[in-house]
Amino acid sequence: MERIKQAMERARQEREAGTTGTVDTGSTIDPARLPLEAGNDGAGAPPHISYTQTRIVRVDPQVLQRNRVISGTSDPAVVDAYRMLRTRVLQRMHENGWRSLAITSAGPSEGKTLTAVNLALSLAMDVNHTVMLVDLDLRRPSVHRLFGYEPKVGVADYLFSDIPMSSVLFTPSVERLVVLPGGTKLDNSSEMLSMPRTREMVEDITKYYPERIVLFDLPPILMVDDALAFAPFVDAFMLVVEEGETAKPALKQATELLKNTNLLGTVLNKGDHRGKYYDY
Amino acid sequence: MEQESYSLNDMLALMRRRKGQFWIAFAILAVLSIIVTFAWPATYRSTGTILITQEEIPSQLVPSTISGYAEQQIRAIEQRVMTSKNVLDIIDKFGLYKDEQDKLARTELVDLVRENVTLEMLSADVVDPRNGKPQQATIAFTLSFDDQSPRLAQQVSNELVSLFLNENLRQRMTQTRDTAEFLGQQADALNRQILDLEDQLAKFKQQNNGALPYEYTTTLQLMQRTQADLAETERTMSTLQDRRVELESELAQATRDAPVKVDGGVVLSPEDQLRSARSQYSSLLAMYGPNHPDVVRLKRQIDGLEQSTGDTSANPDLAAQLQATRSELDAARQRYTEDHPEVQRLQHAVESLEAQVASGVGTTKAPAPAAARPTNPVYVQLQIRLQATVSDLQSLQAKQESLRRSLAAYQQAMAKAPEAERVYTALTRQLDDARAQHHDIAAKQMEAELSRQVEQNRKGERFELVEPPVEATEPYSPNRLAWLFLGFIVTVAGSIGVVAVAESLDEAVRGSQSITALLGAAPLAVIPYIPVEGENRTVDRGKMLRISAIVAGVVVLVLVLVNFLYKPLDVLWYIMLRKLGI
Repeated sequence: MERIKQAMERARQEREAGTTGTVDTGSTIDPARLPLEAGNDGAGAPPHISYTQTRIVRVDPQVLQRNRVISGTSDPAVVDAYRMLRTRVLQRMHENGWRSLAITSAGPSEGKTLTAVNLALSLAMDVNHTVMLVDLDLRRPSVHRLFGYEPKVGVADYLFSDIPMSSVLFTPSVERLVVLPGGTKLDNSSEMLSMPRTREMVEDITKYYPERIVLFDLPPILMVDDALAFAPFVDAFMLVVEEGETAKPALKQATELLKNTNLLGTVLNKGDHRGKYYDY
Repeated sequence: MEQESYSLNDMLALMRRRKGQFWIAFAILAVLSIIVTFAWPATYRSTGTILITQEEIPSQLVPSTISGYAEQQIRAIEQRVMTSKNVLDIIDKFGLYKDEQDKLARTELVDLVRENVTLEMLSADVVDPRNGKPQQATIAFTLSFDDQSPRLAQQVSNELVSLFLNENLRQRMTQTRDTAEFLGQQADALNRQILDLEDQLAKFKQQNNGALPYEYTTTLQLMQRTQADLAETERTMSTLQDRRVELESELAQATRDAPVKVDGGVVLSPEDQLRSARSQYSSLLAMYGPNHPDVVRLKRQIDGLEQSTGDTSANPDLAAQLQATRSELDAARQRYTEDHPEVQRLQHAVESLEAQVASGVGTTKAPAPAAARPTNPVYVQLQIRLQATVSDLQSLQAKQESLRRSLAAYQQAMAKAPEAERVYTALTRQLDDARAQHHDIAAKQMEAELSRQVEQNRKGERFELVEPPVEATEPYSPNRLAWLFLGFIVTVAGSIGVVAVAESLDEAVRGSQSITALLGAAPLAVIPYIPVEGENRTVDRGKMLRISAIVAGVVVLVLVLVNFLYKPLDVLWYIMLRKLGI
């Protein structure tokens, strides 16, 4: 049963991929191969799939490592931790039928973007999903930086100028992961995030791809109102907490602000409890 | 289980987290404590020990008039010695606290001195000989003074010790003297009281002579004897009176003069002649008138006689003559009428005599003895006996009077006796009391005087300086080794305190447990810190190296500066060792 279901889903994905991009070699995606490995190997070998409209960015593994983005050479404990996060996030989203998840934190520099990126990568490892990561921290867009890529255009350009979505997207040579970078820095981002066009965009990217999970990287909730302004468009929120950095009152305040939304849960970043969870 | 492992882990995490803060605080506090330990000025203590010596003369022999416990006495002396005036004198005398004198008030300086004076009692366990209870007895005390200069400490300590000794002596002398003086005054007062009472008693005795209790029997006997005497006297008097009456009647019958004869007859003496002449003169004058030749002749004769006898007194018998003449006149009137010549003559004579008597010439006086001397021996004898009797009677009368008075006095005394007895008893009792008291006081005064002598001769309990204050060579404080140790403890505790404060002020989220506690739900996942390979450690190591290099450089610089600007390091090292007392 399960296998049949998976096969059917795969077939549908391929169909969808066919509508947005073309398979230039005609080969299918090898489900046995891990996307990370593909990314690793992708430096030399030609990719198995390529999106005609989606820019494929070759990512230097050393850059990833330096940016603490999980890759094939990462500490297995870290990878396991993100797997744990992925599984629990997936469980909750399935339970509630959620498709989109906004990731934010109480204060700045508490590891939102890294968590978003690593969660996206981890989700992409699960062959049942495709993942789209949208950088909506328009005041300080930084998702692309973690991949060591500087896009010319971003989500703001897509929203304000009439350019096609496909020209903005890039895929960091990881299967089933598409990134919508922030692009140009904006100072009035909260107004932009509450525009009808933004709603349309969110509806577009979530509804057209049933098995797709969309992650939004949002600015800190206590610093600017972006996250709150964007809240109606997203299914659930996840709070990133940094060990030894996030203040308890700030965390409490953040949860207070988010109490009318679906708070999926929290992630403790830089947690130091290795012995307890990971030493096996 | 979760909670236990959490707290242990939490502690470990805390230690890891706060390592840097801990060591910074530790370093600062350690340096501070070391600086304070070595920079704190040394204080020197100079101590004198004063022994409280027992009386040299046992108190059974001469009881001391000074009582009270030794400690009490010492404290009292301390209060007397450490007066502001004395302390200020000491400050001025030795120039204490020159630096502080400008900054502090005089009273604060006094307090400073008092703080630096230490009085410690040295006690011994003894058994009270009276009740056999073990107790502490102060046998000596030490007097110390602390100062940064050992020399000043010794000088001031010396001064204080001598002040204590003098004060003690003075106090004991005063006390014994006062006691003796007081007792002396009491004795004097009692003495005066006794004298006063004795005086009163003497006066009382005088006033109540014979009424006093011990005189009662005597008085009674005297009274009885006086009564007997009185009776006897009265009896004798009555006899004598009888005899007088008898003699008077006899005398009345006897003639006064015997007849005198010349040439066989009677020879009259000039006095008798004069008397006879006067007698004749009177009768002749009555008969013939003054110009009658017989009268004139008689007058001349009288004058001559008067001149020869020197007696100018008038006829003493004028009264008798007048009496006789009147009797004759009365007899003549019975026989004759008034007109009878005889009656008229007599009348005339009486008138003449009366005129003579009234004129007072020679009639006022009793007849002169020589002139009146009776010549009849029988008469004379009678007269003498009569006179003796009268005189006896008179003396007896006087005696009777005196006896009566005595008797009255005795009776009065007997009446007064009961009241006198009461007063007398009261007076004597007061006197006895006063005497007994005086006796007591006098004995006590003697003892007090002895005690005073004992004190004066320095034989009583007294302070003896057994160890005079000496100049200290070692500082009394601070004990730098102990201070270092204390400083270390303070440093460790302080550092821990700093960490604890920092931790309590830190509100950051630590561990998934705190999120659970805060939000009621555990985090979805705990992402460990992701070290970036190679980079992290090298950065830390470089930082450490840099910091170490800076610290080492600063230390070397400081040492070099100290060496050349302050004191050579080896000298400093020895100074430090000496300060530590090693």
